[in-house]
Amino acid sequence: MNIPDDSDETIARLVQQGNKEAFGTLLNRYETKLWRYASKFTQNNEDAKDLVQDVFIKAYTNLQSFDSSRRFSPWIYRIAHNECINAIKKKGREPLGFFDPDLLFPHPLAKEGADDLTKRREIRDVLDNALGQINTKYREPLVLYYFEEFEYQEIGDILHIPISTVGVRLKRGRELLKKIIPSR
Amino acid sequence: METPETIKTPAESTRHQVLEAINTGKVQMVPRWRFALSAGLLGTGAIIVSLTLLFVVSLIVFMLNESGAWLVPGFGPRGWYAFFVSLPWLLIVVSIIFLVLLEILVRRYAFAYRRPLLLSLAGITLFVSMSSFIFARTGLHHQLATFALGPHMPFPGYFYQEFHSGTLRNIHRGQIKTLTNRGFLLGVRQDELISVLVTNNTRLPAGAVFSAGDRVMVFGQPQGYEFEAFGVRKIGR
Repeated sequence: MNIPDDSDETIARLVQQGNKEAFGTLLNRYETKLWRYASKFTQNNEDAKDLVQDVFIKAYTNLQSFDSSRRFSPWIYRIAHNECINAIKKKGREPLGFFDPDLLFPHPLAKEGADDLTKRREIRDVLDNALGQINTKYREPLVLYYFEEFEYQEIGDILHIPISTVGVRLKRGRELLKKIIPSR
Repeated sequence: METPETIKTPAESTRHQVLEAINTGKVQMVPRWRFALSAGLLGTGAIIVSLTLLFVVSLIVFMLNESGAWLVPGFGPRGWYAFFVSLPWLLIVVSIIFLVLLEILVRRYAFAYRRPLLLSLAGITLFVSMSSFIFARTGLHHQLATFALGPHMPFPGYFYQEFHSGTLRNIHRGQIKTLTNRGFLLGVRQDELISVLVTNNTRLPAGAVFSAGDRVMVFGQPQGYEFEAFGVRKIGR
């Protein structure tokens, strides 16, 4: 069953009401996006497929907790974020900080939308090659902003961090990128 | 319900596997009431922690208020030292633990995680402190303190008894019974009388006039039942 014109939230409501088939539309819409996110964040294409499957299973299981008056995409990406973090921890390949001091203090809010489309695309191309060298803390917001095209507030809701911290991490991530690829 | 691991077949597509698991009932939706229940429990937990925190902080405020310990820093470095030594540190540690617990409980809500940790903690601290000042004035702690001096009372009773035993360092609260040539007789707990000497070195509020019946806080080191006051302040009630 495919419901091409309805919003994610409307479809999620249908699934909540018992229409299991409607979940297929959400799968169609998010499978590629979540795979891209998981593979770029975990830097592991093999794991990403399993992770995406787990994300959909968790999303379906917990769908009744979704408030359909809010946006569906940050909700499912939040699940994906948790799954990816668990996978990274499990593999122990990369260090995940126990506590981030950036969460403590208020930061001046970096302006959102300063990048125009061309610049965004340019950074995205460069990022693709350098993501593996960037710490997970900065890598994830970069992926969410440049590849998944979320706004700061949505990234904050996915990562459960203040919007100003999103700005700081993106800024530092871009600075790291400049160090890795100085010509850009 | 089976775990995702048991339904994975690498050859099949994610979409097919997930839908099959859903359609065959291997994966089922958790009913809405379970989420409502867990949200309710979390909310109740947060309320209980908040009320406990409020009670503990208001108890600290009450103890400092009643003992007059608030006023001793006005007597200079010696006063500050006595103030820090007199603080109920155990209660302060308990309230910090509850504050952190409350922050952990509310952190999953957007109103908390959207703010920097320090702002969120400062907000909770400000709210709890203001509420505690109001709560401390309701008279509940006075009633509990009276009750604690009688038969046994659990956990908070210990603090009320400690407070009433007058262990605050060099801070004596009581009522002026009689004015004497050299100072006054201070009535402290259980009709005990202490002779307080007021000298030229004693720090008094500008224009202060003391009379019998005034409740005062006297700061000074006692030697037996007599001591020279380093400072005297009137306290409420």
